[in-house]
Amino acid sequence: MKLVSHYLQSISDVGLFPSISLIIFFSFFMGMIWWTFKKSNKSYFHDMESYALDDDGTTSSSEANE
Amino acid sequence: METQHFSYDNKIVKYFAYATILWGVVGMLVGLLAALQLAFPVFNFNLAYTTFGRIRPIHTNAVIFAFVGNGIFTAVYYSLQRLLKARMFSDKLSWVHFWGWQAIIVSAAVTFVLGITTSKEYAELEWPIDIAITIIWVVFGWNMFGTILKRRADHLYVAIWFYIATFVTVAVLHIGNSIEIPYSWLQSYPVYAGVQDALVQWWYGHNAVAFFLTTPYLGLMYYFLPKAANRPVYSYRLSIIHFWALVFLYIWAGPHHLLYTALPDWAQSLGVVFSIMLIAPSWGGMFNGLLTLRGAWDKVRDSATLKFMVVAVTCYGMSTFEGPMMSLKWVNSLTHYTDWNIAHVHIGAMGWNGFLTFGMLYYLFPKMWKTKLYSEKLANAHFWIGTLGIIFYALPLYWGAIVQTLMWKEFTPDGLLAYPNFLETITQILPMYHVRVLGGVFYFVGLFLMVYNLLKTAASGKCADNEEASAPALVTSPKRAKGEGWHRWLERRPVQFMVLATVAILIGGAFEVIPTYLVKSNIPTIESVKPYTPLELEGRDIYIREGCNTCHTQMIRPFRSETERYGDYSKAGELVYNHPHLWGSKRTGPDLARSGVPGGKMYKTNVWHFNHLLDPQKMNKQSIMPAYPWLIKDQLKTSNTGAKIRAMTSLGVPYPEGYDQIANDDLKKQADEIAADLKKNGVEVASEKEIIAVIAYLQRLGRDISVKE
Repeated sequence: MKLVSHYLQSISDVGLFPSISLIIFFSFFMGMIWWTFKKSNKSYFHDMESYALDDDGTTSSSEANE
Repeated sequence: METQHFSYDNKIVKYFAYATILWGVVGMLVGLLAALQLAFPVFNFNLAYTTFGRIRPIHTNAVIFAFVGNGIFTAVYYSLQRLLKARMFSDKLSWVHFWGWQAIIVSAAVTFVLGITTSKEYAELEWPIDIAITIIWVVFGWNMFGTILKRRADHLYVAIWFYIATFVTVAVLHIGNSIEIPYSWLQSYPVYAGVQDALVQWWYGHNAVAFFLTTPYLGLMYYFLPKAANRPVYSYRLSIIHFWALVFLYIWAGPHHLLYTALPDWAQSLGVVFSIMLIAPSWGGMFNGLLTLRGAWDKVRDSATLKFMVVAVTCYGMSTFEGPMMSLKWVNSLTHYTDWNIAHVHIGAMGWNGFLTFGMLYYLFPKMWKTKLYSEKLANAHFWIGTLGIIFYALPLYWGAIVQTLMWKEFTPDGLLAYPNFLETITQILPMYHVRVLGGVFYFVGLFLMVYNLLKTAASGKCADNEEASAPALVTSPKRAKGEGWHRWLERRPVQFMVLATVAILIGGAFEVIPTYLVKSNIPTIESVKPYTPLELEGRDIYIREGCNTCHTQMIRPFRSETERYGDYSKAGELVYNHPHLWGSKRTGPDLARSGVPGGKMYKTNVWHFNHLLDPQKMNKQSIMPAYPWLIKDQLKTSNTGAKIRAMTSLGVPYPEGYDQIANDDLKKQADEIAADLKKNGVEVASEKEIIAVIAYLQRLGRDISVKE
C-alpha cells in the first residue's frame, strides 16, 4: 500500500479524520443519552409510547383495533 | 375546540399495496431464474436478454426499488395520514408519484434487458431514468411535507422521523452518486473514476441499504408492530437515541465494502470503526421492536402477522450484527467476494424487508377491507414455508462461502496454490447452489399463498376509497413552551427536524467524501498508464452491457493467495481513467484485473478468449459461465465512438486534441490486427464484430504497469 500512503501524506493530518469524527459522534451521543434520561421527560415518554395506538379519528377505529 | 371532518385516502394505499405484491412476485421470480442460472447455465438460454449479467440487476432492482419501494410507500401513505390526522396533501401528487414510480420500474426492466446499464451496483439505471427518479422522489417528498405541514396532530411520531430521514438522505445519495456525462440519449459515463468512483458508489450503495431498506422499514415497524400487537412501543427514550445514532452513523460506514482495495487506508479504518459502532443503534431498534411484545408473546402464537414481524425484526438484528462483523478486516478478507455477501443480503431482503412487508400486508388487508383475513391457516403456512425458504437459501451459501474462501487461500507445503484452477472451487460448492434454488422455491411458494389469501380477503370485504374521519384542528406554537425539552419541541417542528437530520447525515458524508475529492489531484500520474484505445473503450462498454462485473472482479487484494493466483495487486494510480470503476463485489468467476498481462498468471490468447466467449462449457465442461454467441454475430456499433471520446476528454482523460475525429481509424486498425491474429490461429471472423472489441479490452487489463514475471 505504499502508493496509497504516498499520496495520502500530501493531505495534511489525514490521520485525524477518524479521531475528529469519533469525538463529534461520541459527544453528540452522550448529550443525547443525558437528555433522554432527564427525569422531567418521563411522563411525556410514557404518553408517546402508546401514540401509534391512539384513535386515528375514523368512525370504525374503535372496533377494528381488537 | 373546532372538530374538523375529513377523509383518509385509502385508494392510493390500496394501489401501492397491490403494486408491492405484483413487483414482489416479479422480482422474486426473476431471482429464482438467477439462482437457476448459477446452478445450471443452460437457463441463460443462450440469449443476450436473459443472461445472468442482465438478469441479476433486474432481480436486485425489482426487489429493492419495486417491491420494497412500493412497500415503503404503502406504509407511508397509510400511517402518515393516520399519525397526522390528515389526508395526503394532494391527491394529484399522490397519483403522479404512484404512476411515475411504476413507470420508472418498467423502464428499468426494459433498459436492463437491453443491456443499458451504468454497471454501478444498485444504481445501474441510466441518466434519463435517474432524472425521472429525482423528479418523482421530489413529488413524494413534497406530498409528504405538505401533509406534515397541514397536519392536525401536533406531534410527529417516531415513524415520521424515519420517513423524513429517508426522504432527505435518499435524495442526497441519489444525486451525489448519479452525476454523469451523457454520450448518447440513453447512456453516460460517471464523472468519478477509479478509487473515487468506487468510494462514491459504496457511499451510495451502503446507504441505499441504510436509508431505503432500513430507515423507512424501521418507521414501518414503529407504526405497524404496536398496531398489530396492540401494545405500546417498549421505549420512546430508546427510539430517540437509536434514531439519531443511526442516521448519524450509517452514512460513514460505506468504505467497509472496499477493505483491502486500493482505497486509502484511513478511509477503510473510518468505515470499520463506524460499522462496529452501528451495532448499538441497530440493536437498539431491534430491542425496541421485540420488547414491544413483552407480555404479549401469547398473541404471537396465534397471529401470523406478528410471527412475520418477530422474525423480520430478528433477521434485522442478525443482519446488523453480521454486517459489522464482516467489516472487521480479517473477517472481510475471508468473506468478501464470496457467497457470504449474497447470504447476508438475503437475510436482510427475505427476512427483514420481505417478512415485515408480509406482516404489514396481512395486517392491512383485513383492516382496510373491513373484514377478517380469509385464512389464518394459510398465512401460518406461508410463515413456515417462508422461514424454511430463508434457511434453505442462506445456510448453503454460508457453507459454500467458507469452503470456497478456504480453498482460495490454501497453499501446498511447497508454497503453491492448492487449488490453482478457480473452477475447482466453484465445482466444489455447486451443490450448495442447487440447494439455494430450493430455498428460493420455498420462499416463492409462500409468497404465492399470500397473494391468494389476500385476494380472497379483499374479495370478502369492501375497501372504502375515502375513509371518513374527524379530529380537532391543530393548535401549535413555534415557540418552546415552558418546561418543554428541546427534543420535545423538535418533535413538533418538522422543518427544523428535517434540517437537523440533514446536518447529521451531511457530517458523515463530508468527512468521508471531501478528502477523497482532494485525493484525486494527489494520485501520482503513473507514466505508463494510458487511456484506453477506442476499440478497448468499446469493448469495455460491451463488458459493462453484459454485466461481466457481476461475476468477475477487477481488484486484486494484497494477499499472497491473490497475487499468486491473479498477479500483482491493484493500485489506485492505474485506475484513473476508469469511468466507471469495475471492481465488482463477488467472484463467481476469477478476477480479471491482470488478464491482459502477457506471460501473467491470468493471460490467455486471443483464440482462447474467442472460443471461451462462444462456448465456455466447451473449454471447461464444469464452467457455469453463460455463452455469448451474439458477440460473434453482432456488428460493433462505432457511431458513438467519437462522442465517447469527447465525453472522456471532458472528464479529463488525456486524449490528443481532435482525437474523436480519427478515433475510428485507430479502432479499425487495432481490430484488423486482432482479426489477423485470430485468423493465423485458425479462427475466421470479421474485424467488425463485437467480440473483437471485447478481446481487445480483456487483453488490455492490467497491462499498463505490468512487471515482467
